[in-house]
Amino acid sequence: MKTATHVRTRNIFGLTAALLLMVAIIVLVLHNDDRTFESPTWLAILNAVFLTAVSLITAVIAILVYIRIGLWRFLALAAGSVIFGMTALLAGLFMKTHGPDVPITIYNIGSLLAAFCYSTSISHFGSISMTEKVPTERIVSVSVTMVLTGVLIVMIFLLSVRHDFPPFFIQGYGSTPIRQVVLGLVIVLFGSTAIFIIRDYLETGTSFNYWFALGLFCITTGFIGAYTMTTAGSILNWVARFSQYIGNLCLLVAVTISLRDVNSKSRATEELVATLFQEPAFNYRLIMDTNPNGIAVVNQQGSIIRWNRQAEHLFGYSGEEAVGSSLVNLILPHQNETINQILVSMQKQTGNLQENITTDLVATCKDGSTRPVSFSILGTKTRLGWMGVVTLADMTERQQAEARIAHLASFPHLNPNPVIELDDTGHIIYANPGAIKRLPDLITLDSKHPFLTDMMKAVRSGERQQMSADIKIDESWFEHVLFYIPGMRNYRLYARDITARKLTEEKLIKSNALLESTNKELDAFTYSVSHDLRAPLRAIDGFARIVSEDYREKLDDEGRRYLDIIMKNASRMAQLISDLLAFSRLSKQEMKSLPIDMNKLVQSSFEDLLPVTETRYIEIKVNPLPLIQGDPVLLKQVMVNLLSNAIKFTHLREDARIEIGGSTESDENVYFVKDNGVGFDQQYADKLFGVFQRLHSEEEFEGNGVGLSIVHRIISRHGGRVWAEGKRNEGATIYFSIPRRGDST
Amino acid sequence: MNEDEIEILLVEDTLSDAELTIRALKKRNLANKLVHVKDGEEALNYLFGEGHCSASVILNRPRLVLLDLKLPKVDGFEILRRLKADQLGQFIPVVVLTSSAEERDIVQSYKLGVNSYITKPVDFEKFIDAVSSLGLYWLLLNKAPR
Repeated sequence: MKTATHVRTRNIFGLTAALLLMVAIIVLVLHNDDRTFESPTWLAILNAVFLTAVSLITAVIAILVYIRIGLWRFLALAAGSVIFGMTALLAGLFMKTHGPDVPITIYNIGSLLAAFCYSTSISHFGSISMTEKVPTERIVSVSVTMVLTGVLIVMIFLLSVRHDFPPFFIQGYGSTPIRQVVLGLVIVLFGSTAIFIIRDYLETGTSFNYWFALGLFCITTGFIGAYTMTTAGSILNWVARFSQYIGNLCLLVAVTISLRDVNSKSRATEELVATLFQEPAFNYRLIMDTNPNGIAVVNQQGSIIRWNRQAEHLFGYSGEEAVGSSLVNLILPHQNETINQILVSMQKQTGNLQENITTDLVATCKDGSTRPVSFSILGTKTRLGWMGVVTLADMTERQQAEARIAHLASFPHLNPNPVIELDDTGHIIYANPGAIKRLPDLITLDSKHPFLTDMMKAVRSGERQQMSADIKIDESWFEHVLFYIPGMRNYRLYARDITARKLTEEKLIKSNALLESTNKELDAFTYSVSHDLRAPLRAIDGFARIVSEDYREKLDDEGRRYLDIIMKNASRMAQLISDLLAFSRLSKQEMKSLPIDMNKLVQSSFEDLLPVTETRYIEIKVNPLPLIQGDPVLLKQVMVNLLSNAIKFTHLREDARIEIGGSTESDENVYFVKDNGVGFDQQYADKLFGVFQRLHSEEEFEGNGVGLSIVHRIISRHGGRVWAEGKRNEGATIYFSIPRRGDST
Repeated sequence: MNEDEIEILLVEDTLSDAELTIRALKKRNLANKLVHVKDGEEALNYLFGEGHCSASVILNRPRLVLLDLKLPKVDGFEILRRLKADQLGQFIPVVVLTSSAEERDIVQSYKLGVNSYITKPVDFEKFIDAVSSLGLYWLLLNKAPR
């Protein structure tokens, strides 16, 4: 395509030439010179060259172009040229023999037909009938057209020669009315065709249009001259003819340019388009309707010319509803300014390679709902004017996806705890506000921070994908957890403020230490107390015995009784000290957890108590006992204590009965030891398990009330409970429960 | 000092315990030649002489030493150690007679080479039995180098 300056020069040159011719015609008309220079030979030669030859060449080229691209207009052009050329030839040939009238008739009628052809070629019909025919079929059309054309020419000739037409021209007078009408039509047709093409040319700037318009203009000028002339062969006549010669040459140039344009397109595209257009089902509509985006073709004013199927789906307007409406009014209300600006700037672009304009807009659908769309427009100048192809892509999903991403992105961003991402060299590529605020040193030192390098080294060595460490920063403690993400080859660091936890831990450690030292002190105390208490006890007991041995005779019964009391108390105190020691020793021992056969435990307890029981008759009933997990030594002590109590408190009865049993409850086992001894008052039941608590006097039953509190202590350490039921003189039942942990026995 | 050979050295700070022990031994006629010292210092003086030092050689060699552990001034372990370190003293049987039943005391005593360890029973009868038994055993039954 020629550049703008080129075009202007051409414009000026052509315009000047055409105007000159026009001026010449007008002058000659006014001047009315009747001199004639008729020379039939010259006329024939000139006609033959400038009209016939040129026209025929034009026709051939037009046919070639038509075969290539199948536009009807070129076929019409070819036909017109052939008619024009042939009638001109005939006119020239028969000027000598038949006088001016017959040739003029032939020529004028031929011109009229040619004019029809030319105006057809640029009409709507000529351009949109983009045929689906293949080259071979086109050749058929060409042949048919040419035959018809030939027939027409022959008809014109014969009719003219036989004077079947009324006379057209009277030498010396001028045109007859019939000629005036015919020529008038010719002028109008050629002239209006020229004007249309000029308008086309002004819009598209194509060379073809320029030369075609120029050609037609000159030819029209020529016919104006012919119309006004009175004498054939006058100067006016010659100038008119000359105009026509020039015009014809321009037409030749126009079709040559077309052929060149058509030939210069890439062969591949041509072949592809050719094969595609063979397929009857395939046409541009298929391309439009299979596109997943909405497509609207709009004209210069923004009215919709085409509306594809996806556009129907997206916006709810059918093709019939959409075509003819303004795009803005239909789906982009309130956005006229934006669209108009786009249209204007689009249309301002010159040249073939236009750049499309893309923007995000909100479209309104038929049902009133809105839809975010990406609006993209690319314009092109066609022979029918500027057209814009608007692609409307639905952005709803993308917007939703973007919203989702933003939402997900907010998770680390809004997290008050530090979240950091590092690349595989240890540089920080993301740090959330929490990190910037609370771990500033980490951020500034970045990969050089010792903590980071240590942790990353450990993770990188492959042993683990994850590492955590508790680190103190200023006055706060942070739990750092570092992950390696193999897929992205990045590290992620999550930190958590655990200051509160650390403080609690420290407190716990301190209180534990305190407890331990207190316990140690208590142990030492207990130990020394028990030993230091024993020595005097030994003395009391010993010397009381000595007195009772050595001075027995000297004492009366009272005296001996007093000594007995002294000795009994001494041994009681010894027992108390032993029990106290045993009681305190309980807390020192580590408790074991082993599976225990309670039945065997009861057996072994009875064996221990054999010395006590062998002098008495006791009925003992042992029910099968469920297994439990616990400390065997401690639980044996429990059983021994309970059995020994049962034995002790039934010793007044002759029909002493002791029953032992156990059951499995939902999450614990419950065992009991029941006797029919002296029992106790239920209202004092809670006192039973207190240290040194007794519900009977020393006279009734020996003992110092530590046995049950030992039982209570041991069972508590197992996580269980103790309780008792009793009735005065009817016996007592001591229950204890031990929770089962995890096993399902 | 008796001219007769002293048979028993009783190292005991609790007087009542000492009296009971002597009474028990007397019953078996074992207390004729018995010396009772009341603290560790006195014990060392008796065994190694007045003004003894760590290098002193044993002076008096009783046939049996009954040793309490909790003694004022010098405790039982020290006396045990000194005795067992002496060339001649090491052959004297030492019986620890103490109220402690602690494992650690027992271990320590045996480490130092004690011959026997008895815990004093609280019960008087049992105490008498224990003392008589040990006296009979160590003085009459057991043989020691001269």
